[in-house]
Amino acid sequence: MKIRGPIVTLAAVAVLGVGILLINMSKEGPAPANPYSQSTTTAAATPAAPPPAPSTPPPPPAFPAKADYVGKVPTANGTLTLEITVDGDKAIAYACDGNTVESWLRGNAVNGAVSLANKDKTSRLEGHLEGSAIVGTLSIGEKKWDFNAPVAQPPAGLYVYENAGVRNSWIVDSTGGVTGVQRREDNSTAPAPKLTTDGIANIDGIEVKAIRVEGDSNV
Amino acid sequence: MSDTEASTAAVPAKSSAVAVLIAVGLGALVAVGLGVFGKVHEPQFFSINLAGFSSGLAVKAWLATLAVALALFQLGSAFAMYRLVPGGKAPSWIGTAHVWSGRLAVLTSVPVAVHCLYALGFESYDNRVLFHSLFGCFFYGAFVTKMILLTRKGLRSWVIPVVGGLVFFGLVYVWLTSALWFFQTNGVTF
Repeated sequence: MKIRGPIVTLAAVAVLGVGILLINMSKEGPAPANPYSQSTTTAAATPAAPPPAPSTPPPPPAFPAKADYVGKVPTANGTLTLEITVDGDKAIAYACDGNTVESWLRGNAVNGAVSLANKDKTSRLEGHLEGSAIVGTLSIGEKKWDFNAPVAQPPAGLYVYENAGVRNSWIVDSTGGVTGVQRREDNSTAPAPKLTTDGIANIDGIEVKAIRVEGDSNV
Repeated sequence: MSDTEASTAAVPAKSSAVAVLIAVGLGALVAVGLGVFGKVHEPQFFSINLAGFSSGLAVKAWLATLAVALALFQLGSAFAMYRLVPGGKAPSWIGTAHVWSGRLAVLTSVPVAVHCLYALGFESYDNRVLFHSLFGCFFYGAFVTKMILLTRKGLRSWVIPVVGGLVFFGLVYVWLTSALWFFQTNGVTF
């Protein structure tokens, strides 16, 4: 092998890395929608093409008017189930482990991105649309995890029943699986009672109908 | 490859040591530079990628897996070149195969690394992510060091194997903290 070989390798890596980086940067902001049209082979054709319309950035991905997203977040101490309900420009999210850990978060959903926090700002959720799923990070206290929550169709979604200071919250996932946590007046938490597919739960001996949470609900 | 033969030549130890120091210094600069870029650059949550996979993460996981497979061949062919495998003489093509599989491995890793640095950045919110960020920067630093050292003759015989081993170690740990995690949480999906 010639002594220049490794230098060629280094140069090739640098060129490839910088090249991909530049293509990425060219797609930022008011760049043309198709970065490949900038390649040199089409240079001759470029003058003939009409100038692009006043450089408006491509519209960011937008949320449907109403949508539910459900994802599982593997953690060191088991799996968290995460539900995000988007309604207009508001979103509500609920994460729980079906046992003792739960967190309610709310905030805005604009331009395909959600930014949510709980009441005392100890839990946060930042996510953005990627395809039909929301991906991002969820933090509860000091812990932080990546999540990927695909869109889910009803009856999948978020359900709640609150009475006499006892709040039961459930997530129904796309496969019909239910995960929920019950929080009592003294802030103690426990697994929520069973929720049937038609939203009925038996709480302390009384059959109740859980309420489906919408993005602007006040939970 | 020439570096194996050159190792026995008697050369002033001083210039060899300086060359190693320069190479390590440049590698360290690259590693720190990548880390700083990843830390200060605003994550874009987006980077161009290959079509045909279910998600950007799947593309990255499979490219990384290809790079690790090539790296395993790197390890094997390096052992053969240093006659550490039983059976005596290595085939004559092994040096060339080592060079080209290495080039392919590192080039395969580049789109993945650009995605990491451009779309996500250097993060430390859990141990996996922190170590992945550290090993990712380390890998390219060690790679730069090794490429520079390969252009030097008269290095001590252990220098290239040690640096090569560090490059291999870096890539394997990058893979363990990313692609393996991806396959474990999402299943082996394309």
